[in-house]
Amino acid sequence: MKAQHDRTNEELLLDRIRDILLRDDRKTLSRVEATLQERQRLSEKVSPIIEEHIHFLKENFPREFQTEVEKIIDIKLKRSQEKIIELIFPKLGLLIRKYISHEIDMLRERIDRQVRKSWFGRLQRWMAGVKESDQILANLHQTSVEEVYIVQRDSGLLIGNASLNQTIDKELIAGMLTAIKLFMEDAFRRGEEEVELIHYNFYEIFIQNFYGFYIAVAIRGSLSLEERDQLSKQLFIFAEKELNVDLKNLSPSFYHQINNKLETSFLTKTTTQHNDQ
Amino acid sequence: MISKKVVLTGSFGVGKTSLFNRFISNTFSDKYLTTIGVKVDKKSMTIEGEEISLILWDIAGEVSQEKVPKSYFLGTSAIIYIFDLSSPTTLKNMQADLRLLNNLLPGVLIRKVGNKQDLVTEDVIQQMKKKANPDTFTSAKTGENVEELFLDIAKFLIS
Ligand SMILES: Nc1nc2c(ncn2[C@@H]2O[C@H](COP(=O)(O)OP(=O)(O)O)[C@@H](O)[C@H]2O)c(=O)[nH]1
Ligand SMILES: [Mg+2]
Repeated sequence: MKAQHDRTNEELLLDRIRDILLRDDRKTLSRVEATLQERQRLSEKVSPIIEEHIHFLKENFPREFQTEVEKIIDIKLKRSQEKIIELIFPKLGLLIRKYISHEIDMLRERIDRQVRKSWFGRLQRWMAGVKESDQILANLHQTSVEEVYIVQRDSGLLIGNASLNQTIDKELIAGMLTAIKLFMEDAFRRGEEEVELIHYNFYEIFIQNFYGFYIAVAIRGSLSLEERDQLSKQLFIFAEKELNVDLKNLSPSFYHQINNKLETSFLTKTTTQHNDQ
Repeated sequence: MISKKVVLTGSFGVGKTSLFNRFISNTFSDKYLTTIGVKVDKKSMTIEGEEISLILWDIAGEVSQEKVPKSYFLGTSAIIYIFDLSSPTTLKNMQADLRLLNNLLPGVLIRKVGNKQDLVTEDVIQQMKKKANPDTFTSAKTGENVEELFLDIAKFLIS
């Protein structure tokens, strides 16, 4: 009995020593077990580490990856640069035009005031019932649009055309017109200025430049400044709506469509909106 | 239908205008050439069922390209650089001119043409082959290889 008792004592003693020695480890082990099993507790442990990494990345990303990212953005920007300019150009033009047209309205008001003072103005108003300024502007110019060309700026290749007469080859006209335009721009070298108006017998060719193309409008008669501005605005609106495409890769159907649109937008009516009223 | 801009260039008197006129009917007066230094004309062809228009720019040509407005060359798909087989001085600027054009229009199709073939002997032609390595020898006078030159360019541009 005694021996057994002693052994038990021994065993107990050993157990206790083991306990003492391994207690911490056991605790840790069971804690690890529990942590691993419980998602919630695992995430509590891991999250701070991950967060610390994210924080590190946030802090150091610019330094570590800046050049890489910049390279990518640079390439993307360069690739789409032309597209961006093509998109912005008409919008910007319209904004500027809005401002200018406001100035012109003010000018018209001034003309109105002056004319109203004269007996002539009173007489005319009595007879026609039309606003004098419009009358004055409209009487001076009986103009009509004869032809419209949309032309690729560098190559002079024709993008679209609408004409009242179908005599000469339109592609040829577009090329030659571009050659003349380039010649004038080169010969007079006025900084970045571009040709806007060419006179030819009873015709005027009004040119509105855009980024990758220009639109030339052949007009019989002579445009007043306001009419020119009006036409220019029309062209900007047209470009914004119809020419927001990759001009270097046009489908054959595009030519047909754009020609029809040009015709309905520019050929069927006179340029002076006053004459329409 | 496809349209492409093609420029004829080279020294004065090598036969650019003659080749141009040999190939197409003249729409505009040559007056333009002397006043603005360029004349535009068009030749339409059908190649393997596909229609292509070459919009040809005949550039008056100074002694070298330096004086020609660079803008005349922009948007060009092919350049025909012509020299006169009977006048070796017309070769003098070729290297420099071609380098300039290559910088202005990277990757543009360039065809070197030795013109006035009718004026020189076979010996001269062999010599020129070594010296200038032209893509073809033409004569605007007899019409030799003229049609073929433009056809070859059109074929290249359509593919
Ligand atoms: N014999 C001959 N004369 C040519 C040929 N091509 C052009 N010419 C002549 O060379 C001169 C200059 O030609 P031109 O076409 O005006 O040269 P460009 O200045 O390069 O346009 C003219 O007298 C032409 O008749 C050719 O192939 N053979
Ligand atoms: Mg010539």
